[in-house]
Amino acid sequence: MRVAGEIFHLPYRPAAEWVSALERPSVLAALLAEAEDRNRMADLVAAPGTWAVEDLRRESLRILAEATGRTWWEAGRLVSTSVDPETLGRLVLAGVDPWTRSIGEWCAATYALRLKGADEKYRLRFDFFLSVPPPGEEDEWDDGLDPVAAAEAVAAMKRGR
Amino acid sequence: MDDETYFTVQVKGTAYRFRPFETAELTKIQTLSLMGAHAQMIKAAMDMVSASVGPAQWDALVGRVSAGELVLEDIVGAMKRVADRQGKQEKRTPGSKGLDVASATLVPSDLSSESV
Repeated sequence: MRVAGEIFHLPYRPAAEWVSALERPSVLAALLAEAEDRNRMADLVAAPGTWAVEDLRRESLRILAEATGRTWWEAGRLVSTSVDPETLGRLVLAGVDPWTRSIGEWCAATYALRLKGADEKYRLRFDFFLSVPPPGEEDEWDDGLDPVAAAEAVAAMKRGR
Repeated sequence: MDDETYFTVQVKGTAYRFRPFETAELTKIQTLSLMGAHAQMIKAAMDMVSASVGPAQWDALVGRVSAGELVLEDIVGAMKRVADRQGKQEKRTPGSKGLDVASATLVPSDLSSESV
């Protein structure tokens, strides 16, 4: 990852550490870094005239998406869901150990657990809840559909064509 | 705001006038706080307060710290009160985004738990 032009390498961390660090998602990357790198990132943030704050936020969200294979908000919502007492209890009973699993596996287990035995309606609701982009990220919600073409298609359907 | 330009805040019995903080500086300090980078956070906070109160008041504050009358946390506390008031002031201003440096967490609402 890169902050203010400097490259940092993050070590592997188990899901338990990601879940804890995600209480502060805008600085996630710094919290997961080695202490020496975290201190260097703090120096860059504190330095006048750099974009380190925004770099750190953007890179934090990027590594969350990369590590989970999902958008950062989907991963964040799955992590929030995973620490809900009922979901967490079921994950523990199922033997999913956050200290031995990656954050990607933790999110996948949470997703699978929440949809286990669910009907199609619940599945659609849950997927929708996960996928709605937060303010400022709407452009990422690109389903490939041309809005003008879609509006014309809907109008044509209404006209019975 | 107390008048068009300043916030007045008491620090252990003495009133000081603060110019509004730069949003970018507040964000930087909040980020350092979230990172647990206390040394860098204190330095950035002192730089921001110094610029806000001006040289004469800053010298007075430093003098009180040197005399043991104040500790750095008193100045950080004053900074948070100014930031709070500035945030409330900006929230009342139509179209402004507002500031919330006093909040220790930065968890976006979209990451909060939601029942499904």
